[in-house]
Amino acid sequence: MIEVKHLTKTYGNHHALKDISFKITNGKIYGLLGPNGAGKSTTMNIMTGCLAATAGTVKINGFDIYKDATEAKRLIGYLPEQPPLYEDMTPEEYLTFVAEAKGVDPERVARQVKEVMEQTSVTEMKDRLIRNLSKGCRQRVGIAQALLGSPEIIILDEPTVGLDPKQLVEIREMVRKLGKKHTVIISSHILAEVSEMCDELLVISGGELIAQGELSELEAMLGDTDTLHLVIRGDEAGVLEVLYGIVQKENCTLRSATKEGEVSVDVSIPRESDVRDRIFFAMADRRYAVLTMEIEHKSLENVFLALTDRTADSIEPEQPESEEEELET
Amino acid sequence: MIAIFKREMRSYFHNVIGFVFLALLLLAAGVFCAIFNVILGSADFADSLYYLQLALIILIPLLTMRSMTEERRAHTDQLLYSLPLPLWKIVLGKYLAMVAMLGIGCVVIALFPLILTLFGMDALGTAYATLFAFFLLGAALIAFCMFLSSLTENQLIAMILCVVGILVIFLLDTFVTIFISAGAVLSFIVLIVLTLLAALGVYGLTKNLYFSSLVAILGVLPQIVIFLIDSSLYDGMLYRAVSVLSLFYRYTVFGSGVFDLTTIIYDASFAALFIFMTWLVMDKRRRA
Repeated sequence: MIEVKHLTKTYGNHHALKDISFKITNGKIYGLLGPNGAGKSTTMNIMTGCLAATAGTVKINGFDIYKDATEAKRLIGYLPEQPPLYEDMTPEEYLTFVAEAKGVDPERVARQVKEVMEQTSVTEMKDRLIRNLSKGCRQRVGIAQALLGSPEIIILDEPTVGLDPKQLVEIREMVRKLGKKHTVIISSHILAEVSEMCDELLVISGGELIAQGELSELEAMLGDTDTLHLVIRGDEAGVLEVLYGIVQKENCTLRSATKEGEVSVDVSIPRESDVRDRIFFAMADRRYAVLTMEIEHKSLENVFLALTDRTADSIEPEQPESEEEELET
Repeated sequence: MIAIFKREMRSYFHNVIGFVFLALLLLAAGVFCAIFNVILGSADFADSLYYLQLALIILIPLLTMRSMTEERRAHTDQLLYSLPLPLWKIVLGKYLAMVAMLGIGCVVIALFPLILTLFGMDALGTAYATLFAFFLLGAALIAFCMFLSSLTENQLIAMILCVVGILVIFLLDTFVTIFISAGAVLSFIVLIVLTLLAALGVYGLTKNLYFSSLVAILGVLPQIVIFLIDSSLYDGMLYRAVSVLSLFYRYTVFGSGVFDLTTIIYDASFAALFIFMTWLVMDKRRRA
């Protein structure tokens, strides 16, 4: 179990993390979700002992990541955002080095390296120099490295960035398999990815933990209403009079119409009720033409955007690193 | 630590740098040996080794420039930080690998005096004592350059820093005579300034105001007290201090046939200080 308490990290005047606390229980796949520069990598670097926090503690199964660093680090396998690979080595040499450095029993090194290579499909490229491997293969070698020493917890920082669709599917499949044996924490700014792979989400934005829970719990945070977009041709007063006869006035938001003689309205409606028929026939009775009538279901993307928008103003780059991809939601 | 050592050694021979280092070291040793012992007919191998120390000004930076910079460039430092290994073992593993490279070169150079005995050289004891001192000097400089290269992530800058750093140490010896005539007041002022600069350096590395202030106070106060009690003690102090602290000057003592234990202790302390400072830099980077 990982227990993060009041984690704060500052770079000069910039607060990369602001008093973050959460618990990770064993046996699940966790997704650390947030826009670029939200503090995901900083959180992971602190959790793995690569970076010291300005304040706060991280405990891995009760071992403090700084005070009992050796014991705590034995429980973690970490793949940073940039796979830490020695390009002048072959995957087999590299993994043997990592296994030895992690203190794997010398008699078991060869067997364990073979196992993780099979697990991550690295075996067929084990004798090629790492510098000649594709990005996807390097990522797999990076994951293999994290698996050595049989750690309970695997932490993967944006493992799918820059991969082609086929490699993406492979890595996602691998993460799912890992989740059966290990506690896995992956970070991503791609919502679809974490929602597909993870059991539970931690949403970080602007250095703050703004939500934690299962997907359904996060969706419930938005309430149970949908939005009905309407564009109706007719005089505004008449159209609204008809509309207010069917739905309550406070649920309607008048938007500026794109053309003269058209009325554009957003209506907030309960998810279980469908008032589209009534609106259509009522408008038709008064000879108002319904040009657009569309229901927008609130989805996880809305949850993500709504949560991150709250802190968007305070988002700044977390570290001087190149995170160039656009927010893909 | 053994894993780090093995990886570093493998890296030297996977890259051209290990071969280039050994080739240049042996080439320089061969050239100096040919000039002084064969052509000029000197019966003392220490003469060749005396000039071989000049080669270290280029060779040691060549060996050390990648040691830390490459880890940062390739982001492999994150792997090292996340390993269940204390940081000092990582630094020591890297250092010992570089020393081992120098050791391999010295083992081959150790064959030279044996060959020279065929031509009538008989001072094997002096030759090997000097070679041992040469190795110690190299090991101390490796620690110094490892520290300098840990300050940057650019190999070229690391190389330049190291060459300039070794040159300063080397030239300090050459200019040591300038300080012979330095009077008590000048010696006192220069030593106080140097002490304060050292304390500033400690602050730069640790960002710990209390610790660096303590270094400054413990360094400066006794000097002021000594100077006030008997300022004549500072006559020629600068010259003596530079002589005592000089790596290259101590090396020549071995060349004159004296097996000097203080040199061994001094070189080992010098190396330990810079290994510790490299550890400080790496630890500080994690805390940045």
